[in-house]
Amino acid sequence: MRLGSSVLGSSLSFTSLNVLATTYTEQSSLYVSAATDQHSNYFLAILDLEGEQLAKLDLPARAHQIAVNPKTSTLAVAARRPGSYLMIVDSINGKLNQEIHPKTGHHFYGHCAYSSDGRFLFTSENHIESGEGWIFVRDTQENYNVTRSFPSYGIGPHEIKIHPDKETLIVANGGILTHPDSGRAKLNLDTMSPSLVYISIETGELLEQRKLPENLHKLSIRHIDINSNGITAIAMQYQGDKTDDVPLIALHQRGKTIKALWAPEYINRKLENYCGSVCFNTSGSIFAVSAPRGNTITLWDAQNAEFISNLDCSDVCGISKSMNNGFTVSNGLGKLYQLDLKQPLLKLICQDKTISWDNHLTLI
Amino acid sequence: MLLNKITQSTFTFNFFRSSCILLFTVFSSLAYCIEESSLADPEDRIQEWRNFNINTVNDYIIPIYKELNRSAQAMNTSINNLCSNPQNISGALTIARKDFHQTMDAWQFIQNIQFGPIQILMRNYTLQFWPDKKNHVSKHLAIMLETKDPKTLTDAEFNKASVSIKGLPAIERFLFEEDETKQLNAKSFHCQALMKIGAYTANTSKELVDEWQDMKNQFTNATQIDGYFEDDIEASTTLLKALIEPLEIIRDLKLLRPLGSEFGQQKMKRLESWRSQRSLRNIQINIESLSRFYTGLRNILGSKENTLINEKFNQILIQISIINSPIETSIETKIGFKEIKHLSDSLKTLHALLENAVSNQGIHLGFNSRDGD
Repeated sequence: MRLGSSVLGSSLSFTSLNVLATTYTEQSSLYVSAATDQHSNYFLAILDLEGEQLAKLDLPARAHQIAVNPKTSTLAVAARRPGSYLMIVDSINGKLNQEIHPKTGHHFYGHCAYSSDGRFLFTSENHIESGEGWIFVRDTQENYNVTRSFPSYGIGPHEIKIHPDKETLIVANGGILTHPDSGRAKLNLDTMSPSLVYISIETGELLEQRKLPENLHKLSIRHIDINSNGITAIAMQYQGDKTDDVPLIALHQRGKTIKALWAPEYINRKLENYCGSVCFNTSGSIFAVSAPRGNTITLWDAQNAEFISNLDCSDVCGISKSMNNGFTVSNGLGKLYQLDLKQPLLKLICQDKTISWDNHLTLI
Repeated sequence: MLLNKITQSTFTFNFFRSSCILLFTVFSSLAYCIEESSLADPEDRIQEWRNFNINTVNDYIIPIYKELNRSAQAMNTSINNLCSNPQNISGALTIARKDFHQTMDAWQFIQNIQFGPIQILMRNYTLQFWPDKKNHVSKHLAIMLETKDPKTLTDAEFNKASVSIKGLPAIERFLFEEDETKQLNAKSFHCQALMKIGAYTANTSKELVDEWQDMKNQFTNATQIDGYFEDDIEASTTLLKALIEPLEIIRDLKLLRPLGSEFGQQKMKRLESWRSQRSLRNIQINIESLSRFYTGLRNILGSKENTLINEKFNQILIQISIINSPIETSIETKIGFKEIKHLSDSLKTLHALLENAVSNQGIHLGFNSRDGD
């Protein structure tokens, strides 16, 4: 059910940019991303494949990731942690359908995912008082009301994905405890215990929990992607000593331990212990991981679990699939690049100098 | 030479002590009064940014790497003399220490440059492995010295050794720790190891000078295909990061980390160069260097911003000059603790001023790289 404009907050506005609605609706594929302009205004942008902004929707605070409903034209825009809103938007016209807030005593963690039938939306959330991670299930046919919730079986649940079996939710529990009273301060670095968990969507039961070896407990498991073979790629952020050399990328398959992957040492160091986003290409054979602090993207062979190459790009973070089995990447300088994997270079698609693309880019 | 001038500077500004707090207050309030100018497009002043890039490389970066090389070669020679002159250990040690200080001065002057040749083969970690939170230098050095095996000092083996023991912190231990200096004599394995590290440091410094001759071309022609930068503005942005971001590092790692969360929690051994008692001198040189680097921006920024930033640099240098030295001792006192806190606050203000100034020029130092999730 869609809500009318009367329920929309007054701070929100919709702008259709220079393109007739008829042209816009004929677009077969689009990019969506959160962005910030020079005056620290936050918005959702819907772009065509050439990077032209077809629509923008002002947002009350910085957003993080955008989930795409696989069965409809609906998007769910998640506020950055500690987030207080979810915007349900129609990608056909960029209009806001509904604004959702977390239940009292909770906040969003910036990520969400639709079930494979498009009926339910799963959100990663923090129960503020206990600091425990929770997954809330909202029914798209019931006005996004919460119908169920279950623990994330860890602290700081971040990115969530649906397993190709359609019955399992994968959650990256970053392990970092925060409290809105302390802003984004990390409160438990010495005891943090990140995990990758597989949860039954039907029962909320924990099916499998994987942790890194104890000496790597400060590696926060934050961003994940999964290919059609059920291989999960993991991009991590290290909270330990800056001078430590640790693996920042890993792979996992059900029933096995997490396999840490190493780039050659000088490249691993270059990542500055921080990865921002991870994405498989369409065929699922290769995945890309961005390292915004290291200003580089690393490419990995999923089958052989091997480093392939890296490409430098300033302030890069967002990565999406592209139409040609490669990737599209976005950066804080307002640039979009094509990475077609045929040549080892990033081809500039477009730049808007007045904005910064936020952490995650999505192809729909 | 500027570097020598800096190292010779003495703390002669005691008469400023009483007025320092007043100055600090005035500058702090001014810092937030800069009018926000309209946001510019740096492409409109592309020639000025290109000039800034080229001048910074020619007049700032390359001369300092040359000075690092000159002093590292001199240190290498004096270490060799020390280890081959058992009759006059104390005299040779004094000279080696002086040359260590000169080399560390030069390194502190260019420590802010963390891109280009210094990043290749982890030379940044090799020259100075710091902060050493897990005591790697000590552990790896102990392992090597215990073997007393000359094979560990062959090029093939030494190249494989931990980066932590290949640079200035290891040399500092040999030259300034009493237990270590006692073991420096012509035949000792300690001396052979020290000579190897001295030679390695000298060689790394020479490679940096050589490779910057090529790196220079990346700035004169920033748009070259397969180049280091995408364009001139990206080159400028990289340089500006090296001007502004070190202020946060100095503040967080060199000042606040040793200070601890409150008085009574100080940890002197977290200071950068506590063995050679030169931690404050490092910070003084860092700021001198950034101030000199900043002069290249003066013609680009607005005059109001320029005045405030210059004043802040000067005020910080005065603040440093009146801090009780060495801070390895003074941070244990209430006055010393407060002085470091005040310095840290001033660096924060300078950081904000600079960040605001370049942002007004339409230069983004980073978005995802600085505030991700």
